[in-house]
Formats: sequence, C-alpha cells, structure tokens
Amino acid sequence: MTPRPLDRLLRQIADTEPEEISCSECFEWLPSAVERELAGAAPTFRGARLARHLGQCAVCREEYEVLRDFVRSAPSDPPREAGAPSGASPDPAT
Amino acid sequence: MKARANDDWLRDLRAPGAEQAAALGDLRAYLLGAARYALHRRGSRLTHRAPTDLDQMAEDCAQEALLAILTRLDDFRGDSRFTTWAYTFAVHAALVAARREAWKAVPLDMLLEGPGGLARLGETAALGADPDRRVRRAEAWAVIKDVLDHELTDRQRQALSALLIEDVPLDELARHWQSNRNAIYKLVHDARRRLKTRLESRGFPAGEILRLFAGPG
Repeated sequence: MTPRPLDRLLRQIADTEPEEISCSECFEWLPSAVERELAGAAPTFRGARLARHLGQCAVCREEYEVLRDFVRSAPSDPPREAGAPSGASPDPAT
Repeated sequence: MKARANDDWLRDLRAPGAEQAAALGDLRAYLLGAARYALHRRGSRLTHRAPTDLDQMAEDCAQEALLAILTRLDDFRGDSRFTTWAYTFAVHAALVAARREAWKAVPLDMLLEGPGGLARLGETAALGADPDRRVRRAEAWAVIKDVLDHELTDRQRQALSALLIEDVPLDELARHWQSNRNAIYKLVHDARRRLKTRLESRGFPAGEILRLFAGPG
C-alpha cells in the first residue's frame, strides 16, 4: 500500500542526512549496486549512501528496481531483435 | 553476437571499421531489450499507446542511450559488467520517456499554482485517542507548519507538494521548471534538512516524530 503523503513527508524528514548524494552520483553507482545486490554481497558504505538516496528519490528508486529486475531476468545472451530466436553468445564480461 | 569482456567492449567500440560496427549493432540490441523491458514495466500508464508506438519508443530510447554511452565511454570505471552499465542508460531513457508520456497532458502550471495540499496534511495531526499523544502531535505539526509557511521558499513548497501529494515525477518537475534532477533534489533536500533541524531543536528527534504519527492513536 502506498504510504499517505503525511507519512511520506515524516519518513523523508526523519531519514534526511546532512549530506546526500545527487541523482547523477546515484546514476553512476547503480550498475555496481545492482550487481552487488544480485550477488548477495555485503552492504558497503557507498551502498548505504545510495540506499538513502533511493529512499528519498522515487524516480531513481524506480530506475534502480527496473534495472535490477531486468539484469536478474535478462538471458545471458539477449537476442539481436526481441522475439527473434537467439543465436547469441553469452556476455562473459568481467 | 560476439562474446565480449569489458575491455573487449571498450576496444571494439573505439575501433575503426567493421569491429566498431559489429559492437554497435550488438550493443544496440542489448539496449533495445532493456528499453522494451522498462517500457513494459510502465505499461499500465502507457496503455493508450499502440504496441507499434511502444516499439518505436523503445527504438528511440535505445538510440538515445547508445549515443549517451558513446559520449561517456571514458566514464566507465569497470566496477560492473559493461552491459549492466549500458543498461542503466537504456532504463533511464525509457523511464524518463514513459513519465513524460504519462504526464504530458497534465497542466503542471495549474497543479503547482493551486493552493497545495501541504497545509492539509496536518488535519489529522490532532486526532487520536491518547490525549498526551494528541497534544504532542499537534505541537510537532505546528513546528512543521511554521517551517513550511515561513522558512521555505515558494519553490520548495511547490516541489514538496508536487512530489509528495501529487506524485509528480522529479523528471517532470525539472522539465517544467527548465531545471534538472540534481537541482530539484537539492532544493527538496535543503527543505527536508530545515524541517529536521527545526524539529530536533524543538525537542522532536526523528524517531519521536515517526512514533508520534505512527497509527491512528
């Protein structure tokens, strides 16, 4: 259930930190944070700062969640064209 | 599609000729998949668009992401897979486009210039069965209201109202004000900091505020 606006305001006030990362920094940290979450890696200081930003910023949070879910569900060899049979090879990036 | 490690992606995308063309084609296919996925996730707000329109949106977003990636290849630090880094651009482009599509018919001018709902948020502050808690709630809300009314700028009040009450996406607010996400986020962060500082100085630390307003009584 979506929290009431008053609850959201109070939660956001309560979670406010003197220094918070910007949306641009959040964007830069998303890929590694998503991979760490999917790998079950332990939280880091940077991850905690990112999480606080995601708690305050609905659009960044949505992008994090969609990216995470896509990476989790994406086949290792995406088809060249959606719907087309894949003859692709896995991307074994480091 | 050629299997590539991170360094292979960077090398091929910077290479001249056929290697680069092949890498661009492969990357574009990856980006298109991510853009389609993101638009599908926002599907309920895009149902008025024909499937072919959504395909075109995905194509446009993939292209936009590809161009952004090519201008920012030097920014890739290698702390994730290259493809995950690249997907970030496609997801971002698709969700920004989807929010734009969902909100393009909403007159934000009218929404922002209206009376705003911030003041009404506290209408329930003095409700509840426990008299002591009721009083503390009313006192806390009075502090919040004082800051809202007298210490925040019009822009900060409008931004809080738009984001919290009207659910306007930050992107759309930034676009409407010809600003950017970072600037609007900072505007709201400054407002939150002011509210938190005032509440703490008046004896309402964060935990106390959440406890006071949790539940009906």
